[in-house]
Amino acid sequence: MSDDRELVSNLFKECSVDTQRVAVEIIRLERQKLHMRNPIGIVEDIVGVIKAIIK
Amino acid sequence: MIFNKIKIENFRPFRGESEIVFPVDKKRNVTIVYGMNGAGKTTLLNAFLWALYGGFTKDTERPDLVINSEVWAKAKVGDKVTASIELQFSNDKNLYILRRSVTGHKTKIGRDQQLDKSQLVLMVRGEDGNSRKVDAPSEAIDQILPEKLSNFFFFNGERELEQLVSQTTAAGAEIEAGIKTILGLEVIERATERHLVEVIARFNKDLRQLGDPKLDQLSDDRDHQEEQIKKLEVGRNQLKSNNEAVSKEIEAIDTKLLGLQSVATLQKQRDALEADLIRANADRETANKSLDQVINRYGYSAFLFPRSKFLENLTSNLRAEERLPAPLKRSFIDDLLARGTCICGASITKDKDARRHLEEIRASAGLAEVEEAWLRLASNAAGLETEVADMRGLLKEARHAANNAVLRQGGKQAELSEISSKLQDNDVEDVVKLEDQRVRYRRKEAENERELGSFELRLRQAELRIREIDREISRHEGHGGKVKVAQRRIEAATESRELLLKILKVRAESVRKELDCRIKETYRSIAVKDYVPELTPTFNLDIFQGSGEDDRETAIKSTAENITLSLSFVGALASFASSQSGSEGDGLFNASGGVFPLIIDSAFGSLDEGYQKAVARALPGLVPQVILLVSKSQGKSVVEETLKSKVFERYVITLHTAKDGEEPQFIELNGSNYPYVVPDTSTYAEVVKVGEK
Repeated sequence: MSDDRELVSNLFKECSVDTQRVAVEIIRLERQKLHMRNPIGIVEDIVGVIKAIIK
Repeated sequence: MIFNKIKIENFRPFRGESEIVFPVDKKRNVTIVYGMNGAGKTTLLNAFLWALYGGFTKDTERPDLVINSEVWAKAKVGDKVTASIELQFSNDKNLYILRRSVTGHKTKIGRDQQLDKSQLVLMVRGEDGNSRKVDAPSEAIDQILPEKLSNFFFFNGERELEQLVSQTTAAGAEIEAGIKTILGLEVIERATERHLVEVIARFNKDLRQLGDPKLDQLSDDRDHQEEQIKKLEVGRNQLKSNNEAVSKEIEAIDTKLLGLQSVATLQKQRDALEADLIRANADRETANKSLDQVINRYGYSAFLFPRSKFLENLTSNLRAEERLPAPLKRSFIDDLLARGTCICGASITKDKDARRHLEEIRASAGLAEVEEAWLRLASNAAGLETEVADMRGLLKEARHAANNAVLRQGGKQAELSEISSKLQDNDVEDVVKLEDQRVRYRRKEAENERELGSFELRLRQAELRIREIDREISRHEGHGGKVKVAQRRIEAATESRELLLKILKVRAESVRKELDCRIKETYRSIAVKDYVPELTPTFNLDIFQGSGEDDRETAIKSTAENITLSLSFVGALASFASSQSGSEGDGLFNASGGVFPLIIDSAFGSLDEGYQKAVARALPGLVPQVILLVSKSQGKSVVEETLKSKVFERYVITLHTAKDGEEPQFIELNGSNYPYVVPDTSTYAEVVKVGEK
């Protein structure tokens, strides 16, 4: 598992800071609504965070 | 999740109220419920599933008849009748009381039940002792024991346990989905497969609204490709579901053939051969991928090689003729000439021969940059020869592996064809019919596979084109800052999607490896034979015999080995889930680990004594709570004896039957007789607790 975490960490490091931030925000939003079968409004939420990060 | 109690009311064969209490004791964590076939053991398993998720096991007949049929029959037209399950369980220091009920309104006389939507209420009592109603009960339950994982902890008989180890794509996909659920990787799947696709489309729309003609054209092209993808996905999914149906038909035929004593051995051989064939196919694919990688990495050198030899010869010849710049710097010679003295101390003043000679060398000595370029070129040219030799070696290796896989594929296919011919030439008419049908299904399956391949290819092409368009969009020099911002947003969304897809792959593979180790460990402690289990890269469970790479073969598995393998997997999954419990993962993903119980209906039916003992010995250690639903013949004897010190409570499902001529039957437990079958005026089931001796 530790190797796997290192690999994931390396994958992150290879990306731009914007991409890293966007990816983390997406996971956070998805986690919030994980147990909804059809998470309403998640696309709008993701669009919102990307717009906030990249102005 | 640990079950404390289940209360059943008017649910299918259970009339009135029945209650089973599951004591919580780490050392004695097994509860056995005895019942004859058809008495209600599977209904009891379904009671758990229905209460938690509102559904039944796949093969349940008439799932629409939830209310006890006698209670329904006795109700008058216009009456309301209710069936319910109350489940008490503890999870992570909280106590939950769940109640699912369904009400039927009898509008006409008849067996069919007119039911409302079932109602679910979930109450939770925390450590502080306060109880509260859970607002979203289904979601809360899915957090505690996700429905996708329930398949691994609630088993309806040996058949379901065996299905888990079948070499089908569906079985592999089920296991992979279960692993992803435990790891909390569903968030990534949902993001990459659905939400980010929509987000990128939304940003493209924004970009188009900025009115740049080139971007308009690219966006039109993108929309067109998206439409194509949607159409292709519909077609592909249709083909997949057709093939799933065909696979099920083949599976059903295989089960029938296995049940026919005269051809059971042939069928078992076929099962093993098909597993080998899947492995050979995978090996061929891996070898082909290696070939691709070698060609990608070194392929260019094959074209440069003759040139490199020519270059090397040319360099040496020119050097020998002193026509090539010597590895001396012109600036160094200039310094010597200016000083008038050589480094050996000899005078190199004007008119000296040595000076003239040095001036000649200076003429052929290159500039520093030219010299360096020549040196680099010559040394690279020499390296190319080694690279070509490496490439040849790697190519040979990959080709050898691919050829081996092709040979194995051919061999297995020939053997499979021979078995099929034997079955088609069989004396028993039923066997011939079944095999003919099977051959037709296989043909259909192959046609579907070919078509599926074409769909996949077109899908990949469309997806590649979209990526290309996205790159063109982001590179396009638009006017104004707004275009730039929109481009950067698309880029960030696209890159995040690619990043998340890579992470998904890495995490799933890593857990597969870890589970594989745990499965091997558990299997070793249960299995009678010296086989080695494996959770394959396609997430299928398989067993091999022989240890080396060359003599390793898929083992011919009996039902007993399949069950052992399934239980090893369940044990490994449970211990892995337990290790994830309370962990925050790496801070990104919400691992849904936890403590899960295991409920198995009729697990010992066709196991011989050795395996019954081995499985019974292993079960209490696999999970913190085991609920076994067994018939008298399965539960008594070896199983009972082996589990003696681990069983806390026993219950009997008594079958009351209105069938004419049925004799009463009893089951002797703890020195007393308990009613097993009771002739009665109506047919129903009730639960009786076995008392202490």
